[in-house]
Amino acid sequence: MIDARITAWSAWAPGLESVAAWRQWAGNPTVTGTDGAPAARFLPSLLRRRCTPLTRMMLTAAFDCLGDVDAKSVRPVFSSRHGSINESISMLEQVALKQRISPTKFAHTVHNAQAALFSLASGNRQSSSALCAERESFEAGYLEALVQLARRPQQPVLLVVGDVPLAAGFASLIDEASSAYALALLLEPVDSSDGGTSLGFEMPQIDEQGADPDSPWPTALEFLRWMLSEKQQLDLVGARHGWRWLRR
Amino acid sequence: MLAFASMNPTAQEPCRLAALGMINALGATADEIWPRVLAADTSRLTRRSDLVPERSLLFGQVHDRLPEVPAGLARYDCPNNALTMAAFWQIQRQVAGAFERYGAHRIGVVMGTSSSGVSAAEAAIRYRERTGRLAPEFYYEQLEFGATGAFLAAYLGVTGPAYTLSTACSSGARALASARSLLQLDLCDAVVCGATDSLCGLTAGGFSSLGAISEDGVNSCSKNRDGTVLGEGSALFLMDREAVGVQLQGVGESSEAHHISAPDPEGRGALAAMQGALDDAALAPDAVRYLNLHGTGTLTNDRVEAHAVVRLFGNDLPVSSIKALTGHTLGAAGAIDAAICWLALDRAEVGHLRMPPHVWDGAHDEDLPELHLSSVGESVATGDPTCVMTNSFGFGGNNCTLILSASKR
Repeated sequence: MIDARITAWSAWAPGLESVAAWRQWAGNPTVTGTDGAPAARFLPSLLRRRCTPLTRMMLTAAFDCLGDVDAKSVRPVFSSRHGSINESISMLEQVALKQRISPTKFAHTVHNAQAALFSLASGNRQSSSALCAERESFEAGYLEALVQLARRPQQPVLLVVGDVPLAAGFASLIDEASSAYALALLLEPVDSSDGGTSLGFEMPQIDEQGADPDSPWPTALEFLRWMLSEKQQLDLVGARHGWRWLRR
Repeated sequence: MLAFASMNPTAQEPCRLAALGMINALGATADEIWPRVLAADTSRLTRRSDLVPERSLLFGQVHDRLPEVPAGLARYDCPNNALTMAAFWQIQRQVAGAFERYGAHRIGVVMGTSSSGVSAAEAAIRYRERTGRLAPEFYYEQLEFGATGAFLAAYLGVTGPAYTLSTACSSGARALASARSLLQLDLCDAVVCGATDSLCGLTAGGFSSLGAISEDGVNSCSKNRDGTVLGEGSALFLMDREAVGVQLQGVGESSEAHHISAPDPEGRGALAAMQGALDDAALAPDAVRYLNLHGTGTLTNDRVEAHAVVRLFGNDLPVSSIKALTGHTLGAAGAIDAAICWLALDRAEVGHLRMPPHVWDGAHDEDLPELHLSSVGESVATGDPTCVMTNSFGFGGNNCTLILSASKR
């Protein structure tokens, strides 16, 4: 069991843009929306225009989560199943038609674009990760956040996960509910402070996995719902092993 | 630089890179690749005019026939995963040993990629242009980046954690760094880790649009340099906690906070990554015997890296880049460069270590500080342990430096 303390969180989904709205949602959850992205006015206008909707969502959640915490001091971990794949797909269509690709668009759609833009927007020079793990991208992101926290416990880790629905023609290829959302969590060692929520984490073997909650919203939001509840334990089912959190 | 120093008390725990499998333009196995590296064989690059509109360019394309992805894993069938299989076959015996010793649930997979199966998606979309629907053999898993790690985990049958890092050209180095942490956190007893990238029109077109691609080949550190050459390949390691053999001794990482596609011209990010790796390994700069440069052959990379290297190590440390031979394999480059360092250490003879030579035209760029660029046949004395370093500087300002070491046997 690996422990960490969640000392701040923030989330964004269409129509769910405040802590109060999320608390209300957690008590009475519904399927989250698929359209829209936040304005992200904290970004310089030139940069903001070039950012994909996913980038605006993930950076909004990231900076809201940090609040007064110095954005230069955290180690960021960005995880997304699809990244800015819709923009990549439109570039693939240009490739198929033998058209030239925009260098700016290319730069803004690499999988670590959100990590790079967070670094740019905040002046953060710390190590940053960008990862993905199919349907378990939130769960693997949490694992990588623990990995980074262990590597340098004196620095908080900012985990940011998010996704947008896949473009038409591709969404039907996967068996996953479409959602637009971003969730940011600030992780610190359990002995670092007394605020926040202390959580234990482990990866039980497949035969010890709990029941599949099979929620119609992303697992990241299922995690948030659990964190805001009184329940002691959360089990998420994975392809190879389970993911388990315990309130400490 | 103290702000970047690591205080990780567990950094000195053993972390062995127990076995290596690799494939790239130089060959289909480490045994084929290593002599061609030492001989500075630039003949393996291929000219193609189908990847970037109206440009005929050199590519480090794999020459060998790739294995077939098993029918049961058809959703993962793409050249990227076939390259991973080709690398894996070379360490199959050692990985089987780890299964027997630790069990499938104690083995993890951490991979890096920057392209995944984009080339398969390109073919599917070309098919759609002709027929109005995506190719029937196309699955989303061929395109999504997370499939690089998920495919290998499914192919091996591991039930430990598996994920894919995609931090552009530092992906492969970061995959090794995260794999080490999974061992240190006791979440795994062995990790199959590395990176794979395959040539595709999207990346080639993107780099070409950015003005980063050379007409004639990689000529890093020369005043005549004109960009990089893209390549493909895979390198995979079996990593465990044994204290013998080649060790992953240090990891240093940093971000640039400068520009989405250009590094800080003062080289602060590069310096922080190299210094961080030294701190993590508890080594002074003079312990490093050889440095494998990121060395892509772009002007910005040369400037940043040369200044940072000289500032930290002075002018005497032998350095080189293999990208003139293999092309820049992007997300795989960090793992392939680590593999080159692994081979140098693993195949060192008593008292001396043969270094990969630097391939360039010898025309020194007056704007760069002088570096000791290693030449064909050059060796360096071994130490105890012998430590070598490799740099990976990714697009988006994502840097990772690794230190590998081996003790005298």
